[in-house]
Amino acid sequence: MSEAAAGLEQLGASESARRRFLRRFRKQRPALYALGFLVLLALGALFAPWVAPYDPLTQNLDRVLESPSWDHWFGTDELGRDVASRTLFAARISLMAAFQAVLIALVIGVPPGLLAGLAGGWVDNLIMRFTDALMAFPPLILAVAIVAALGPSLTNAMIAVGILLSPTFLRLMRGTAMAVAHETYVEAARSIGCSQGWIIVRHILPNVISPLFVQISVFAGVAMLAEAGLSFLGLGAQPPDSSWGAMVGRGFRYISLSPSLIVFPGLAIAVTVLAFYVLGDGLRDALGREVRRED
Amino acid sequence: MSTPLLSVRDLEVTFRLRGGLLRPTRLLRAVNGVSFDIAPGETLAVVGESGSGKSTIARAVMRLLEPSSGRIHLDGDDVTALKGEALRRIRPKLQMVFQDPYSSLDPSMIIADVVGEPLVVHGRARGADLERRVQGLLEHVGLGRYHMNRYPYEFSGGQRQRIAIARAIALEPKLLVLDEAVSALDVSTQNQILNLLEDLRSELGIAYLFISHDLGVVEHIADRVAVTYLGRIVEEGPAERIFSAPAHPYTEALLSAVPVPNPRIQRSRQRIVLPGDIPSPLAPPAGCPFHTRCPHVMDVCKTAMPAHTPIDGGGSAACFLHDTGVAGGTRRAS
Ligand SMILES: Nc1ncnc2c1ncn2[C@@H]1O[C@H](COP(=O)(O)OP(=O)(O)O)[C@@H](O)[C@H]1O
Ligand code: SF4
Ligand SMILES: [Mg+2]
Repeated sequence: MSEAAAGLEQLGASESARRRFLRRFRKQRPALYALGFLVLLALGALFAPWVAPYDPLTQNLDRVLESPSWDHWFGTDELGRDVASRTLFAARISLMAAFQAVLIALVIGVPPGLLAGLAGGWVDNLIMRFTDALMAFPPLILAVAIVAALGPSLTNAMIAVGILLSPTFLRLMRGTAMAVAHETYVEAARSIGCSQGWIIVRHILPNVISPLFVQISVFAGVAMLAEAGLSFLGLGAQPPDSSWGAMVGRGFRYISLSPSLIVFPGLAIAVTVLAFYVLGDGLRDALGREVRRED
Repeated sequence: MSTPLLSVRDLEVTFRLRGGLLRPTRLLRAVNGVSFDIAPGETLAVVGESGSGKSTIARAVMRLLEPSSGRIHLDGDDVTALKGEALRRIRPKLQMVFQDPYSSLDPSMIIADVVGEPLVVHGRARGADLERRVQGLLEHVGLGRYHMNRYPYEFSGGQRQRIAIARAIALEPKLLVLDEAVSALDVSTQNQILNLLEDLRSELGIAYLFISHDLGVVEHIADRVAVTYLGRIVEEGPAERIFSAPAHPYTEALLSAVPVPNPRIQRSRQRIVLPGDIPSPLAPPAGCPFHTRCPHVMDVCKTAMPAHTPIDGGGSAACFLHDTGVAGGTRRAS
């Protein structure tokens, strides 16, 4: 392993790989816009206390359930709180939740996936049986069961979502590792006398990473949707914290009085999830193999 | 004769094809009783149709797969059973260039790493010395140093094969196995690579195991030629003799398909079109493996296996036409 790290450092490979990726990614217009939106959103969420026009928790019972206006761009909720400010603050919770779920899915899914793909045999069999069993549960029931067992909190809900997403990462890593291990360049590496550890670190891992990035982006969107659903049901973010899904859930009770209560957080969910998907698509194209060039 | 660099005896490689619910497990004998020697600095061409076991021979020689039986000696040492660290230590002596230059180079590595990797993993060079040697290797195969930071996908097939060759000669091997190394290239690129290989041989004295499905390609580079059919060597001998006086009917057929005009052959030249397809190696014919397609087939060919018989002009062929102990054998053994 340290041998491999030394080799990397010596020839400065990682920096050039990044340059090549950036060059190709720059051509992916929609993905660039999606990334721009996500960065803005993340910055807005991070600096919400300075950016938001109102304190998201300050109530004004004289001005409840108002429609959008110059004072309150997104209107006010049933307690007279500014919906625009609340949407911005909720972005922190929603983004963090998606991040947690994906991180958990990666930690649970990637190492055993790689192990199954590279070891094969009974190790692979054992890991895949276990995964099949996990996937045989209906997802919502599993999520509710996990939250019921751990107690309702956003983190627990995201642990549930992470566990549910992990088999996809596991299968992806297993399949990719298997495919890469059979590539001619791996056999070529063996023929020059590379050790097994070197082959895994220098040839297999770098070539299984790309599809992982694509999946991470798509799953950030999926996790955000799942968080919205669970929070809508009251299994996710707990008051006074509020995520977009929780806002939609509470706003649902006043839907006939003020539809804007669910429109804005709902729109935020839709646009952000879409942005993650589009980013994933662009990454796929930028990281994919370049077409063959003929002589 | 001095000790050969590479000596292969009775090599056999059998693949176990895993069955399914309704299919039984079957054995595929890809290489069967193959023996040959390569002297230091010599080029042996192995020629035969696709599926005749050439790549399997290459991979067995490279110790990338386990032979089912037989012995492989390199430089006088038995390397058949080497494993792990001991195997890694002998790898610098024999290197390989693969057929498909698009899949044999790691797409995530820059050329400097691709070419320098053998030197790094065997601890032969590092830092500035490594960079200098990689430059030298690239120049040796006709590529400029400015290519060092580029990725394989930025190169054409011919350039990639040059890169693969630079990498393969980095450790100064004694034997280079070239498995269809020019087959994926167009004719003019093929010629450039063949010229490069000739130059390298005269400069470095490397021996080649040169594999091709095209007899025409090997004419100028080969010292000796071995012709494979269904996992066996059916004829072997000096290139000169194989091209001027092929002994085995299969070699004759292959030679008749070579488009290069050769005055000696042109006179009597007639394209021999073989009937039928190469039989499945899962169900090889009894007797001579070639008898289902041979224009000279005799009764004995269908039941008995011809042994290798010496041929005038050097080498041997496994065909009853040349086996004086069998009726008809004298007909062609002139
Ligand atoms: N890994 C393998 N598993 C099963 N069968 C194989 C394998 N490799 C090669 N074969 C079979 O062995 C025979 C010889 O293949 P190969 O050595 O690739 O021939 P060539 O290189 O002359 O085209 C073919 O019938 C092929 O299908
Ligand atoms: S042994 Fe018989 S079948 Fe085989 S090549 Fe010779 S003549 Fe043809
Ligand atoms: Mg082959």
